[in-house]
Amino acid sequence: MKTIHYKSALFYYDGVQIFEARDAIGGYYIAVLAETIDGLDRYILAGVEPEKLRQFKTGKFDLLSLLIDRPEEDWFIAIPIGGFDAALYLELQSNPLKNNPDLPDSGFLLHEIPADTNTVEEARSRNNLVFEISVEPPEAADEHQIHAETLAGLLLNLQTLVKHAYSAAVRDMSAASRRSNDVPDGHLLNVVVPAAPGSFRLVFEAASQSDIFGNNVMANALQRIDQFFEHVSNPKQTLDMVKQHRGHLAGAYLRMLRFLIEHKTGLRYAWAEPAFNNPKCYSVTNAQAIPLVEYLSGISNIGAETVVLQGTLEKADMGNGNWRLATEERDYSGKIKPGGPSLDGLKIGSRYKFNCLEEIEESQSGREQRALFLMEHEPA
Amino acid sequence: MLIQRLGPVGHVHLTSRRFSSRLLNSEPCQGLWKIKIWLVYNFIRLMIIIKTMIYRESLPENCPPIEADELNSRREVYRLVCSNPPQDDDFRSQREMKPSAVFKNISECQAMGLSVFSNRDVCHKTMKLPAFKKCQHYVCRVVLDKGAGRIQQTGQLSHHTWWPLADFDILASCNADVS
Repeated sequence: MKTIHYKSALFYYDGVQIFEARDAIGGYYIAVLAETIDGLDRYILAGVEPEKLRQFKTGKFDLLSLLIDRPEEDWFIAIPIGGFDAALYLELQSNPLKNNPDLPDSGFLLHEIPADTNTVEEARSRNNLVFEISVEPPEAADEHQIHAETLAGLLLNLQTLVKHAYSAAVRDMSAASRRSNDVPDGHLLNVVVPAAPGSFRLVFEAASQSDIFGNNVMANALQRIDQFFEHVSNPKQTLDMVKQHRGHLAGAYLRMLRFLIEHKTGLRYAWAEPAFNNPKCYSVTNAQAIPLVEYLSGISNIGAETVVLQGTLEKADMGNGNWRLATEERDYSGKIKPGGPSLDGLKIGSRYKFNCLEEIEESQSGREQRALFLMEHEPA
Repeated sequence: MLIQRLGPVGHVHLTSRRFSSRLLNSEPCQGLWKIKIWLVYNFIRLMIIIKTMIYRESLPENCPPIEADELNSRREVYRLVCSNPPQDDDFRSQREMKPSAVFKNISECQAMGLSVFSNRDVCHKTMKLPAFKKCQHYVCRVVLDKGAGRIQQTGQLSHHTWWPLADFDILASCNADVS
């Protein structure tokens, strides 16, 4: 018996009314709830052309047309007894679908308001959060080109900024939500349309699919980044905002601005979720970035975060100030902050509580390297 | 039923402190009476809090989520109902309608909430779907106010999940249109 896998919900009301699915070889399916009998949902399923499904998702095509106007006549019934995580078994139906009384009425559009921007259209067609950026480095003045190094640096800086914004968003969640949204590998955005024709427009899609209601933690993360770009023409106001997010997120923002100045480019971005009618758009020009960096650089430790470690002291080198502490999770190494406490008197093998400042330094390849500086210590 | 969100009871402690200081300066017998009155007073108060914060369904822990808004002022939402005038059956959650269903991609908390729309037109659009053609549906305007429970926007812009309090009289707050 043929099986398909649930991909994402497209319309929800007291349960999933419409969803899209894929079969084992990547075929596209649309499913519509026909009825609920004895607590079991019975869905009508039909294979559809990817482009037509995309048009339906962006609101250009109604549901009835999607189900009826198809090159093949096969259609199926599926009952997701084990929920949507399990494979759904399809039961082939013999009578023509167009004669079925369980078809929707004509005129059901997923989105009543058409998408008037590429970002919203992209978000709807992917049924996921979409983030898009464009830059204008000097090499793009005459042709649609960008230095490989600039592109790589841009992607790295952007991903770092998003990663820290995401971590900050997850930290503010309840414990249960935190567990389900914690992404240790940091692959939060995937490039889906690299260098689209006409500009250096890059389109990213949230690496994790939105939940059944279309909510994505990435939206929380991007809202935090939006705050940094909201008042870029007013460095003092931006500075106040960045101070509120002091730590790795602020540090990543500062590094991104420095990168833009170094590569003589500004940055424009827009993002949208499928439910949006308009994208959220922000930008910073190269001229705006210069005073911002000057203001932000004047604040000491803006990119540093306080970290408290508790564990057994394994190494204390008083000559160069290096130390190593073994905590329950792993070993941490660091240095003493210039002018900070001495390691004198600490006993190897004893337990201590170290209050440290964690700073992120960039390696030559642009990768993040964390450095710990001891600020205070006390016996644990 | 589970007791959900007892709400702030801080002033119980303040009252307790005030009573304690007075007790130190009173006769032993008089003090006992005051303790009894204080106990009865707080017992009644606690019962009122518990009674007013019970949801229609026994919700799981941390449900409704902290992101859901407590309904404190008047707002209108729309729900599809099968009867006119609406009946209690029109306000049954997914979990109540499908007690043995497996909801793997929605939380138990969501399954115990009611779907409502903030926009009447979306209700009319939803009626075009096959699941809503089995019986004559009506759009019911529900007036929510203080004491109606909690609500959260979930999914499509107009779609909300509503967790009604047990004491909220839904049927008295609901008016169905003939559609």
